Amino acid sequence: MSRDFGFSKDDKRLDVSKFSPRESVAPKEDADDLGDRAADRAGFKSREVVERVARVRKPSQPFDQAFVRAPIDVINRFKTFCNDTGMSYGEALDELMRRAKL
Amino acid sequence: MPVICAANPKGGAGKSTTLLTIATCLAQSGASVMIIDADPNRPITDWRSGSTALPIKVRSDATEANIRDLINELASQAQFVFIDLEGTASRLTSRAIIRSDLTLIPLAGSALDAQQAARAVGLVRESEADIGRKLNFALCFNRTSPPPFVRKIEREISQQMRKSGLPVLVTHLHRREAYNAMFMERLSLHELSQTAINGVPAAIENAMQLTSEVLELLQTLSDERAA
Repeated sequence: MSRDFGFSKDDKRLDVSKFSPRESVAPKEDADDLGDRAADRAGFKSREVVERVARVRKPSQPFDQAFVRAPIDVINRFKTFCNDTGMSYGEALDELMRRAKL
Repeated sequence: MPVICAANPKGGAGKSTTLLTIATCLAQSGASVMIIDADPNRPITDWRSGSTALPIKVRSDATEANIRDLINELASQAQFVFIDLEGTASRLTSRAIIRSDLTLIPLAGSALDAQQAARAVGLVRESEADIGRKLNFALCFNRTSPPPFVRKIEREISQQMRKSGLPVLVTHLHRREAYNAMFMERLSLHELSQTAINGVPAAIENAMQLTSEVLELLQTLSDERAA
């Protein structure tokens, strides 16, 4: 590079004075999933690893088992109750006994 | 105000180089600049770990879940926020593009880069359809040879883009050792040793010209919005 004798007043800086920070946006006005449908259509997929969370059950007391022999209608009603509420057999038994005030 | 992202689902298309070049030129001119390094290879974060004297802040903690808040947070703090995106067709890319004032789509003059650049353009168009407003983008060439040594394939790609009415920046970042050296030495172009690296003044001139074109474009877009 040739030596600069300092005659030029041009400091070669760009004028950035017209730009200032944005005003902050409320999260309500900016939906989190904005653009995701467009991304799906254009073939842009999520690339983030989804971590598998292990389910932890900590019983307050030891578990025991009971084999139930009952008419199919009773068993069906019990299973339907479990399906509808999403409870396990153990939880459902506890819940039904609680309701029966036993 | 402006949030500018660099997107091209192809790796090695020149996203980080283009973005860092413009960001450092703006910081050199006194602007406050922040960069979100959303590329898992963290090239800008690595650059920041060097001894550059430029006050550019780099955030490396972007995820799909926090990108919205990160952009909004930084945009209210700095004059210019840049987002360097990963070279994959990811959802993070779409979430960044939709919140940017300008999406730069860098490409070298190769068929593979051009093909993937077209995918980025496709994503911008799909996003526009979703939000019902125009999203601004510009294709920008890098690693090209200065005239009169323009390669036939570069000319062809460029012509195809113009024919399709796509916005292409007039200034190309030419293939110069100095752009590589920025990452190697972890300095800005202005801080590189002109004796150790070839063609630094020419690279600075080229970079300032590109930055000035981007500034003009941002100003035009801002005027359009105000009107």
